[in-house]
Amino acid sequence: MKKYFFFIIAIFALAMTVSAPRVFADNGFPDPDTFSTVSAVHPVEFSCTPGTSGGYQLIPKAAGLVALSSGDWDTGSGASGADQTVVNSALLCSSQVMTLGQWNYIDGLGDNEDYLIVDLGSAIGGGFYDVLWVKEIHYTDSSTGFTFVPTNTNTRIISVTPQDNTTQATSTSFVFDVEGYINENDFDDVYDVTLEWKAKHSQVAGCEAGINSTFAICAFPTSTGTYEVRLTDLGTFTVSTTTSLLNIGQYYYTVKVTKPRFSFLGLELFTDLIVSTSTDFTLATSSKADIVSQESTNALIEFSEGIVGNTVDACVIDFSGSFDFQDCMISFFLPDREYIIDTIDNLREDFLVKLPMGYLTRFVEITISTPTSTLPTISYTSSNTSIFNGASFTFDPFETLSSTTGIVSSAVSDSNDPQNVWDIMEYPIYIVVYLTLLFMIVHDVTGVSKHRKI
Amino acid sequence: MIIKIFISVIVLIITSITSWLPTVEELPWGLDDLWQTSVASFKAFIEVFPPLQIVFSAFLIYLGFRLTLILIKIFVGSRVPHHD
Repeated sequence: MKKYFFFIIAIFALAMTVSAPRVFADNGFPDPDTFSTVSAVHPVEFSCTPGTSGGYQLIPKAAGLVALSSGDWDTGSGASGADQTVVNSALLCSSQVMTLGQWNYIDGLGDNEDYLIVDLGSAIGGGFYDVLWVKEIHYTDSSTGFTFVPTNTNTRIISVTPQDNTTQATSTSFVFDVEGYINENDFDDVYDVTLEWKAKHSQVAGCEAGINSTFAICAFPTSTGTYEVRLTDLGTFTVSTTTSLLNIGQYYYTVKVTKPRFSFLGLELFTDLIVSTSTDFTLATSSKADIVSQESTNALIEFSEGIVGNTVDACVIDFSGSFDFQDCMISFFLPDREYIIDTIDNLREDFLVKLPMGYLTRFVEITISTPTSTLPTISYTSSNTSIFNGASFTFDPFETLSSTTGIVSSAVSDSNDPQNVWDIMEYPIYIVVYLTLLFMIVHDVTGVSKHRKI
Repeated sequence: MIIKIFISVIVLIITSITSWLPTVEELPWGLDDLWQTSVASFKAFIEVFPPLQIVFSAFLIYLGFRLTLILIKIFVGSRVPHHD
C-alpha cells in the first residue's frame, strides 16, 4: 500500500507543477474598476468610419449620452448636451485604450459639475464599433485613463446582408456581406470567413413560360457562389463581396467562420467551425420551381400528419441540406422526440407520483430541485460572570473556504484568465480523485487483495 | 406509428391501473423536511468547498460500478469470474 501512496503523491506533485499559477500579466492598462465614480450607463453603439479631414469618426448609432474631450478627442461643432460626432486622429478605430484629457461639460453650463464622460473604444479593424461600455466619471478624474471593453465579447455574427426573409432586387452588383466579432478565445492566428449563396431552384429561362406551374420540374441549382477571405486580426470583422445575381427565386445565404485545425505539407486537412448563420431571401419573386417545391413539401407534411397524427419533421424537404429518405421512413415507425418527452411527462405525473413509486420520485425531486442554504456559524455567548463578561463570539468556519466570497476566491493568476485557488486546484484534485477511483475499480476487477489473502 | 400506438396503449394501461393509488406529496415521518435541509446544506457545502463535488461524483461512479457488478452477478450468475 505504501508504494501506491507514493505513486499518488507523485502524481499530485506533477499536477501541481503543471497547473502552477501564472505570473500576473500587467498589460499596462489601468483597471476601469478603480475609478472612484465610475458607473455603467446604457451602452452606446458607434459606427467608425474614416473622417473627411483625417482620422476616424465615431458616430453614435442611437441616442445616448456622449461627452467629448477637448484633448485626445475633438468635439467638432456639435451642441453641448447632444450626441456628437467624434473625430480622432490617433486611435484609427483600432486602439483599446485612450487617456482622458480635459473634458467638455455636456450640460452647456460650464460649471464643471455636471460633466460626464465617455467611453469609446475597442473597435478593432474598420467598420463598426461594437457595443461599448459607457463609463460615467466625474470631471475631476479626467486625467485618468481606462480600458474600453466591449459589452458583448462573444464570438458571433452580428449582421448579414441580405437579411433573413427579405426580398431583394436583381442586380449585376449584388452585395453579400457579413459583420462579426471574434474574441481571443476563438482566435488562433488566422481564421476564414466564407460566404456561400445558393438558389433553392433556379428558374431556367425556357421553363418559366411553358411549364404548367403544378408540375414544373425544371429545377436544379444554377445560381451558386462562394467567397472566402482569410483574416488575421481578432475583434470586429467585416467581409463583403459583390456578384451578378439575376436568376429570380428563393436563395439560401450561409456565412461560416472557420479556423484551420491541422495542416500537412501546406494542405489544411481539417477545419473547426467557429460560428455560422444561414438566411433565406427572395430575389425579386419566387420562381415556379420554388412554388412547386413548397406545395410538394406541404402536401408531404399533410400526408404524414394524416397517418401519424403529427408532423414528421424528417420528411420535410430542406433544400439547404439534404433530404434523407431513410430518416423519413424511420420516422413513420419510431416515435418522434416530442412524443417520447410527452409520454415520459405523462408517466411521471400519472404513474411515478403514485404510491409506492412516489416516494422515490419525491426523493429525487428534492435532491434535484432543493436550493442551497446558508451554512451554520458557530456562536458562543459567555456568561456575565466569566472573564469575557458576557461577550459574544461568532466563528464562520466556511467563510475562508468559500469559492465565491472567501479569501481563497481572490484571483491569484494573470488578469487575462484570472483564477483563484479553487480554480487552480481543480485539475490536480480531479487527477488524484479519478486516479484513485481507477485504482479502486481495477483493484476490484482483478481481485488483487483476495489473492493476497490466500 | 406501430410502436407509437403500442407505447400509448401500455401507458394507458399503466396509468389506469395505478390511478386509484394515492399520490405522494411528501416523504413521511418528517423525512421530507429532513432531506430538504440535508440536500440544501450539502449543496451549500459543495459551493463552499468545490473539491467535494469531484469526490462526490467519483463516489457515484464507483457506486454505479458496484451496482453493475451486482447486476451482472444476478443475471449471469456463476459464470461471473470470481476469486473465492
